[in-house]
Amino acid sequence: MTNLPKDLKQLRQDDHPPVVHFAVLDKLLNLGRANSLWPMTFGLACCAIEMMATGASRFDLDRFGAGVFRPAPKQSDVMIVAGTISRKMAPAIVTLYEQMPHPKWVIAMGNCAISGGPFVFDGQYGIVEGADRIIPVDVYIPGCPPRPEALIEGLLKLEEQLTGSRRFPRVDPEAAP
Amino acid sequence: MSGYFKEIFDGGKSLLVGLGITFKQMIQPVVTERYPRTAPKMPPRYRGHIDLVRDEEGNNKCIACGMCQRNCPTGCITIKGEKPEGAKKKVLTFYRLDFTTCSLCGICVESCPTDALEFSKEYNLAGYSAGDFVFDLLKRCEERRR
Ligand code: SF4
Ligand code: SF4
Ligand code: SF4
Repeated sequence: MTNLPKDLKQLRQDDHPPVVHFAVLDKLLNLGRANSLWPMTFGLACCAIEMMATGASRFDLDRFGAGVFRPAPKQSDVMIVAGTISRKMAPAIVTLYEQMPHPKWVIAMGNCAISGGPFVFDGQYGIVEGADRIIPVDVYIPGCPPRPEALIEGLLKLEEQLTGSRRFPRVDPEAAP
Repeated sequence: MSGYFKEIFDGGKSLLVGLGITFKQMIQPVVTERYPRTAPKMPPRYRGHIDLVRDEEGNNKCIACGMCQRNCPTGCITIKGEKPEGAKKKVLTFYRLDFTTCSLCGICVESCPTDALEFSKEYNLAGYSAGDFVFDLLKRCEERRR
């Protein structure tokens, strides 16, 4: 079993920076990457149900080029950690993450993946309190579970991080009364 | 040999059936919600993170009794209140919601004696750090006033 770090220090994805940079080519590649973020078919708990709903025809992730859920880590670009990470599952998640080729991104979907969510209490022994304790996370989507729109928003945020601009309009949720 | 032709026949039939379904779906109304271009309206009982209710004057209705903080099963609420000189009631001075551990159970909303809490309609939150989702509800309440 992997040893899990105790502190909540956030890991960033600069463990393998590219050796040579080509400014224009990199921009072009990032544009391509941002519009074909293939997620891994990988659900851990109830949040995965919302992830499946997002992939289905009502919300249709294919509109953003992200609907190609890949069954193998070596074919995928983004890992959507959707659900509760139990201590038993953690080594498998780390292995899957390490099997993904660079560049790769991680989306923590749902409160369980962000911080352990409703399972956090003093003396709990079965849950990893947040995906960012075991792998670097790029985008966080809170909610229990988040709505499919929130997952779309998370993918758009990732696109924004890659290309530096946003292709789609921003949506303001209706102001509370 | 007969198996060979049967395979071709079955394959062709299943192809036609599949195409028939595709064609039927093609002429049916579109079900996809074009999310970033159109925004859905949340139903009245949708649960976003909690928010403070405002009364007619735009103040919060909280009396800083601490019921929500005590009853939250994951302890995501931290409140502070104080009694100003000469006032009868306590006033809320600080209300922090750590939405990253909330399970949207609604116990805080149910247990509030003055109905000062409600679920918001925030449905598309996403951000680059987990700290973005620790809300100062008092500040949010005041911002909405403007
Ligand atoms: S955040 Fe809520 S819905 Fe998502 S996996 Fe955890 S308990 Fe389930
Ligand atoms: S909805 Fe439940 S978990 Fe969330 S703040 Fe209220 S009592 Fe706590
Ligand atoms: S239960 Fe209601 S009145 Fe009491 S502290 Fe919480 S929000 Fe304020």
